[in-house]
Amino acid sequence: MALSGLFEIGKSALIASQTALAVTSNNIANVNTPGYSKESVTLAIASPFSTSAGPVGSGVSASNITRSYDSFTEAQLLNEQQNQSKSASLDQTWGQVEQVLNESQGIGLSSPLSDFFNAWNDVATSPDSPAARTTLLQKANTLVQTASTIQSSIVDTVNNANTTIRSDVSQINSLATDIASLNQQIVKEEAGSSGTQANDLLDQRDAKLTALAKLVDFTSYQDQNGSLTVVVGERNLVSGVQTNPMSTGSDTNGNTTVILDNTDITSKIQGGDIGGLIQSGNDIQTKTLAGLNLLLATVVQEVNSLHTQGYGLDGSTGNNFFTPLTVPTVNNSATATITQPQVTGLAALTSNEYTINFNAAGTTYSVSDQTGALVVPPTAYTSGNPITFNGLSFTITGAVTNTDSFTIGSPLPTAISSFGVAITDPNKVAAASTAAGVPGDNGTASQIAQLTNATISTLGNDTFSGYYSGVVSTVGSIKQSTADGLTFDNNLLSQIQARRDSASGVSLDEEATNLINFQRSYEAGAKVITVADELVQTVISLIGGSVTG
Amino acid sequence: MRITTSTILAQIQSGIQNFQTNYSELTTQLSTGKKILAPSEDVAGTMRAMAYQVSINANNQYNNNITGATTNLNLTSDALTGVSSMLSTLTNLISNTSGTDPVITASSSQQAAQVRDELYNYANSKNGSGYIFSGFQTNKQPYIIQNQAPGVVPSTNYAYQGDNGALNVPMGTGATMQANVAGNDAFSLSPNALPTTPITLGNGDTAQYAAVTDPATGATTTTVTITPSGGGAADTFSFSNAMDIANIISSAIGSNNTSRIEAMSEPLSKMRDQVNALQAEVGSRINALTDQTNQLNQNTTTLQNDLSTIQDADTSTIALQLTQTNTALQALYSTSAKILPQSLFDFLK
Repeated sequence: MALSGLFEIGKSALIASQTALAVTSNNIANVNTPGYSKESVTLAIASPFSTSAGPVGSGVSASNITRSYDSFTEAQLLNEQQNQSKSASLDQTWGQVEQVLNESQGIGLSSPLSDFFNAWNDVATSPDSPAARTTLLQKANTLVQTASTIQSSIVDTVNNANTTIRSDVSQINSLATDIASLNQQIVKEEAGSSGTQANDLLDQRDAKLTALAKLVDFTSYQDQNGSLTVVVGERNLVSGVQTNPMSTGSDTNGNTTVILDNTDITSKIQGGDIGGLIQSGNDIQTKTLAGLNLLLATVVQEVNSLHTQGYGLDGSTGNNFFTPLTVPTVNNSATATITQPQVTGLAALTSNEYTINFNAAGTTYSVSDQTGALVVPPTAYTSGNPITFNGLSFTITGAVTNTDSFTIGSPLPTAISSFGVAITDPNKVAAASTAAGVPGDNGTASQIAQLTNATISTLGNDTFSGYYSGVVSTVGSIKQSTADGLTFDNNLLSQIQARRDSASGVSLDEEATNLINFQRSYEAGAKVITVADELVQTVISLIGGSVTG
Repeated sequence: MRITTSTILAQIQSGIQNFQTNYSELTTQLSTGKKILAPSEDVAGTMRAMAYQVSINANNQYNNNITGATTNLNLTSDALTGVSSMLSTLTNLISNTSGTDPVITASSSQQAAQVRDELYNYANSKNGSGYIFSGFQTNKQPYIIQNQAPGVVPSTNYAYQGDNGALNVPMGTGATMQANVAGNDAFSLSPNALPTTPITLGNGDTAQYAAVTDPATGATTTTVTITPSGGGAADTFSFSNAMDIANIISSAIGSNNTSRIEAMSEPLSKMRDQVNALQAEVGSRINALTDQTNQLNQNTTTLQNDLSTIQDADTSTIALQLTQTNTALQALYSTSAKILPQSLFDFLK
């Protein structure tokens, strides 16, 4: 082996150490970078050359730079991130609803509802007192305002959920574009090389996937060429360098829907922020708003049915105390219209919308709901006779044929938004139950005051306050379970994150050791070159000596 | 397990976060005095607290109702005491007026007229702006004076304008109490109070009473027919209420009509009995309302104790927990401050 070989060996040590120092420095620099996986250099012996004494190594080379990566933990992390984000959004949304009905702090309908019936008690005690009547109207208006504030706060929460879904979708699209672009770079970087990985790009892509997991649940798989396919709701979001833009729509109830690849995938989304928002939006409407609407619709019906029987100080009778429930109707007929739509039985009401059709002769009618399901099969119809089904009743005036159709909706969804006090004149408060002009009669007022203790069949034989506390209890229980779920998911996520950090995170102590280690090996490599240089100097001086000597 | 820099950081962060969440919850409990800050923290507790609160509210309202009813009944009772006293005065006047001295009879007649006017005032008593004896017609003066047909003695009588409306005030779940007395019950003699067979007066005349109740007003008019023992035209007159009785007696004393005076003694006596009985009844109603108030208050106290147990924070326990949390948090701060800046780099020179 020539002396110059020592230079090569020393040089290889310098280059390998330099690479290792670069990797170590990069690790140190990324100690706080989310999603970064610690990298390490694999050192390999350079090919030996033969000597008479046998093969001698020719130095070292940095054969590979690998990242510490546990694919199982990473997959678990993505999965748990989807669960945790869903729990967090459920917990946040229900937290907002709970705050509106936080009876523990006296916020909600309980007190205005009690005050309203208490005011009726005051009227029952002093039916001729103008003050008691005025107070009653004030308390009724407070009940209306509180109900309306509660409803609008809850509706705002649902609307915010819908808005957040739309903003999430735009983030998803941006992430999908980034993932597709990274796919392209990774494929390019890894093409043709054997075993070389585009570590930093892979980390970047993993970070994008983690961000995506916070928004929506998905599955992903990697092709042989390193490209990743991301599937959301059984549709491809990213496939190689291609992305399918996700978009949003709106369903008949005004809720935001998620569309991917021209398909409504809303019902298939079960995780991430969007998963939580979709679920809470639906649950808030069916479990909270519907309950509150039914409660106040019942208050309106029960109070009005007694109040219309009573007599005011001014002798008037038949007055509604609250604005009666409005039954929305639509006429699609040139000759006939729906008249006198009214609620005959609250208990039988649903929130469905019904369409009424007739045969050509106008002698039979049938009713179907918005899904097309038949609610009333063809039934004989006599022109002008009232049609009654599912708690609704109305009359159609005019001749009908099979080209006509009529739509009648439920008053329940608008019960709170149309909730109002119908009378403004305290003298019209019908406290009396006998004939007009008896200011001291408290018959009707007393009956309405006693409603507070009455069990109402529409409310499942519960009292107003009992039913309301059921609504609050449902919200409280759901919030309790979302809070428990969130705590569980937070803990699980931290554990998996700790495992991920354990496998892939940067330890500064470790890197400090490596730094010294590779610094020393660099210094040693340099020493080899110094020694080789000195040897060469020695040889040169020998040559110089023979020439002069 | 391999511990990395971010593991240590994450652990410290989550530790501090947990302690601070705890700290904030405890501080809120201390400042609000409530241990349940939201229904989700104790769903069953919140439900019970709501039910108790509803009952407490209802009890308070029933107490308000009872206060109103009691005021009404107290005024009624006061008026009835006055009426009873006036009727006694009238009875005394009759028994003390037996002579024919015109000065005495004139004075007695005048006193009887004063009794009549006092009774009239009592009958038209008010609670605030409403009349207490007019049933449901609280805006109408219960009794008015009206002229009788020409020739009828006395020339005026008293007519009831109210009705028999009973103001039943809720005083408990499903329980009501009548908070008024209709004028008829207090001032109009019950139809069955007087004997239906003729009574013989001291001078041999007979007196016959016939009661007729007007279905519209509920007022009972009693017609008295005095048939002279010696024959001749019968004296027929009628009365509907205590004021009429006093009025007739006043005029009879003035004209020294002993038959009329004697014939009116019985109705007067029955009227007194009726008012006294009514007064006792009103008194018992007031007592019942007082009992109900006591019961409601006792119930409210029990409910409030239970409510307090459910929702009120135990200040001393919370203060202790706050101290504990604070100590732990300080310890974490202190250890974090030592751990965080440390790495092998500090020792490499």
